[in-house]
Amino acid sequence: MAGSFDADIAASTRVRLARNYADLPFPGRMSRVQAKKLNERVASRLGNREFTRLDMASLSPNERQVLVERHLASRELCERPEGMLLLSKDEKISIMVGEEDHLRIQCLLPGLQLEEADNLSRSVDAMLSVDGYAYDAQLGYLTACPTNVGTGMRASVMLHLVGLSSTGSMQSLLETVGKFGYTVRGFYGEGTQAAGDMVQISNQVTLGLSEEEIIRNLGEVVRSIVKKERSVREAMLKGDSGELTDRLNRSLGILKFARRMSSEEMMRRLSDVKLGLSIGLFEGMTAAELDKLATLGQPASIASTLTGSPSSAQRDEARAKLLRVGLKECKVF
Amino acid sequence: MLCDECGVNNATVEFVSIINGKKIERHLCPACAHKLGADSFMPFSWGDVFPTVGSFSPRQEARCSVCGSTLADIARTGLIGCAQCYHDLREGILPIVSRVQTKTRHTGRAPATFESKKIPETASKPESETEEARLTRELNDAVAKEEYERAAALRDQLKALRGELPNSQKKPTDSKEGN
Repeated sequence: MAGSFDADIAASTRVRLARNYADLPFPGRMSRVQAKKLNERVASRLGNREFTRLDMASLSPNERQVLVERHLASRELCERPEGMLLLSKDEKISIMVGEEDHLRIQCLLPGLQLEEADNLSRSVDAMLSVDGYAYDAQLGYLTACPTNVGTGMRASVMLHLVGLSSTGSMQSLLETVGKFGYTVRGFYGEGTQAAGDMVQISNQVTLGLSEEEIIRNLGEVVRSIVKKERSVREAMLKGDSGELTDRLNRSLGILKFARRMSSEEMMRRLSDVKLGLSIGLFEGMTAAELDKLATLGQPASIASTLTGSPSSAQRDEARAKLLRVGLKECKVF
Repeated sequence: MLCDECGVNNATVEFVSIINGKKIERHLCPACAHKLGADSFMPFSWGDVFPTVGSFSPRQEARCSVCGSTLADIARTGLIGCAQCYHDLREGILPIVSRVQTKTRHTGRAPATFESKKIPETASKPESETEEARLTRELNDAVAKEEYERAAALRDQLKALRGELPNSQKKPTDSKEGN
């Protein structure tokens, strides 16, 4: 099942729609009263539809950071006192209310599932559109930033490119991708060294292309990168003098037995184990399960499992324990 | 460094504009920056990324009738204030959209509520257009195609038609984009 979505390489897919209502100024110009009106409107539309309402003002800084680590909310939303998040029970749909635009409808699915994510976000979009979106015959959906105008759609896929990264061909590949109107960024933070060899590829242009074209074009680009990554991985295994298998086995061993682990080391080791699973060196777990561990092992998520304000050593111990337990089923083939 | 304009005061404002791909940097004192309208387009990040905001210089006093935003506000924050801005400040916003998106016509989905209104809006016949509407349409078209010289000429014609140019500048085709 996971294989059909290329989940060993394409970790997750996201489709995000930026929407604004015609009768309220965009969030940057909203009064507190208008912001409250917006929140109540959206909450009442989705009220009983299995969505949990999270008001940023009522969350602790660590709780907000957990949402950021899990890619459910942006930092910007967390910083807005009137910001609100509506989260579906299965966490596949999250709606940021009062971020840069009134609505950011996001659909997050595991693996490569662009069409499915589009369909899901579309159904929520239809429900929320009844209150009258800001829409222009020429420019399409109107957004606070002109970089989102038109479809308001940003589709992205998170890719684990450990093979391309290790052969040094990542840079040239990503530059090529960039020339065709796609943005590439590292896993956490923009422009930083991609942690755990994870990169996100998304469409840059939102106007002048239909939603289907955006989805289809991105899908083609991603599939060609996945294919390339796969061939590089095969070549790596074939040409291995023992160094690669040693490294991957070491990483698995360390994850299974270490007593302290930093988040940086965790990302690096998990990347190795994911590669080991993908090339048939290990068995017993899926790439999606490893991705979930990586998320749960992020600093704020770890801190949320501890009481008080834990020291970094305490966090590293809790992380190591999480990984020991989590990787129990992962075995050498 | 002395001001490029008056040559007397210290230059504290750097004004960068890019016209037809040619970058022009000017170092100005606050007074001259204000006189030339350069101070309302700070900071530079937007002037650099969206040079047309600095060089195209539509009516600076134009304000959105709903949220009160000016083009200077938009250049400063990088954000448009409300849906009405796209209408009231269109002349200034379209070049920005064209710069960041390359295209200026939406071809994707529309909200269900909009579909029904779509036909009458697009059905307005060109022959019944007023002179002002014709010029506005051609201006939008020129901006969309990034034909900024034609856009500047059309903008001046529009201004002349609306009686916004001082008498001494009545010649509508004289482009004042010398900067």
